[in-house]
Amino acid sequence: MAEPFDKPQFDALMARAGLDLTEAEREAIRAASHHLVAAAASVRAPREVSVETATTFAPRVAG
Amino acid sequence: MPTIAEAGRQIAAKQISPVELTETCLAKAEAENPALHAFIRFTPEIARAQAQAAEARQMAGGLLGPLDGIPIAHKDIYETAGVPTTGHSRMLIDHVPTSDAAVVRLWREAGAVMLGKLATHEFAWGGPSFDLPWPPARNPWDVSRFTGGSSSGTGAAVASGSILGGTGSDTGGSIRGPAGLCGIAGIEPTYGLCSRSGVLPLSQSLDTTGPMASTVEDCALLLDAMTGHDATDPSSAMRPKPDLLSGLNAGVKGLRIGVIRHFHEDDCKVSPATATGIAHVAETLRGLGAEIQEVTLPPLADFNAAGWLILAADAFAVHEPWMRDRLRAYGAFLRDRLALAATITAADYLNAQRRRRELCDAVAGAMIGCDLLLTAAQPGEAKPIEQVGKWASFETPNLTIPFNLTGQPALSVCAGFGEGGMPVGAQLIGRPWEDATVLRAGHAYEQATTWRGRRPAMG
Repeated sequence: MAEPFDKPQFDALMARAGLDLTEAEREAIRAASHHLVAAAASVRAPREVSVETATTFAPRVAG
Repeated sequence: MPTIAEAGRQIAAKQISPVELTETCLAKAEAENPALHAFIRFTPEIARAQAQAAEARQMAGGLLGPLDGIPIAHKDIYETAGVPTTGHSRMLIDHVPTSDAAVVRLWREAGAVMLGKLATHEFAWGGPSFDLPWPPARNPWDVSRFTGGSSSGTGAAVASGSILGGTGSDTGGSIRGPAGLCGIAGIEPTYGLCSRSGVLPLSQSLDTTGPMASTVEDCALLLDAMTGHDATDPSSAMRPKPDLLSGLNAGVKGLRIGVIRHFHEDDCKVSPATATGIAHVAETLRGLGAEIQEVTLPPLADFNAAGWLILAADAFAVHEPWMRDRLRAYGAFLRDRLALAATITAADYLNAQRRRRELCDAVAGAMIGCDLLLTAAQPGEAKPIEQVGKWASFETPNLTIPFNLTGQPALSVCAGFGEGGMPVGAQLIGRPWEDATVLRAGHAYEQATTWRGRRPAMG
């Protein structure tokens, strides 16, 4: 199982997001953060250009 | 209570009155709601006016089609002109839209009769929650049990028989989950087939609108009335309206069905009754002429990782302004899930979208040799509602989110009952834009079984 974010890291992320949570609320959420840490790790890999998303930018021509 | 198909035929034959059918459903819904909490708002004046208009058309021989006079209701993320649309949230408790969502308009124009607005998990992700303005919906098979979510009220109201069909939305399984746990049918259509215009968003790249009803045939009738390109929804595909009905009774002879055995036997080991149900679906369809084979997809965990990262990041992007300014207006479940989503980086999100493309390619490759896929819709029977925790969706692999990621049509059908007497669901998945094939197979299965004859005590 992945480790959750450490406390300074997690507190910084919540502050960056501008979320005014209590200490207890932050700790409860941080304890569950291993789920997304593991998910992020599992998709972190070099990939072919063919799998880039197609919706990045669609240039439009006036008229 | 009749199915939509039955009621539609009876209305056409002037054997039943839309007004009487509406009054029966309204009375049932209002009587059961103190225990079921399926509705968060009734709209009797609208229902009676629409039913009377349907009856006038019936008498004049001018019915609009098979939905004319049929009692339905909408999940409360579908905007309804002049009727509050809250997302089951304190955040929008005073929100009264000035226009209908595209699907609400389409069903209204088809003559459907709106009885009210249905419970949902808060903004289609936060539930089951007990700290919202309305309690969570309860399962009519056992009101101590969870309905699944997020289309919880639709699942409960259809299963109890207080409406004949309703709208759901499906981002990670929010139609198929409640359909499976409540013993009804529900389809997540191909991404882009149905407009999402006027529907409160959760994840722009995963959200789909779709119908829930007692039977697959009814889902086909409802879905047929909600398809078509909508220029106001950028995700709405510019394709001709599909024919979902003429082949519904064509059976499954010659269809090749791939069972994703590793999904429900290894990656997410389902209950014995669910496993039996899936085997029953496979054997029944084989008996009707389908070819059953086994297929292997990437691990379910890979779909879940990419799916949850995308869903959570998309949801946080939708809610970020309110999370900063009105944090305390959310229930704790949604607030904390969205806060967790704030930890996802741009790199995580893009990696998940790239992995999504690989997973789409893998599933498309696996379906070269088969027309449909089969697996479970849910791991087992509905749990006691109090046992469904805040992080439940991350703790148990999700069997439905793979097909939100791939944008394929996926149908939940009742596949029997478990040791606790609660329904279990199987999931049939088709290629993109082959919604009709999915419905055809689901209908063939239902016609060959007797599950529909077993209804909850409240039903």
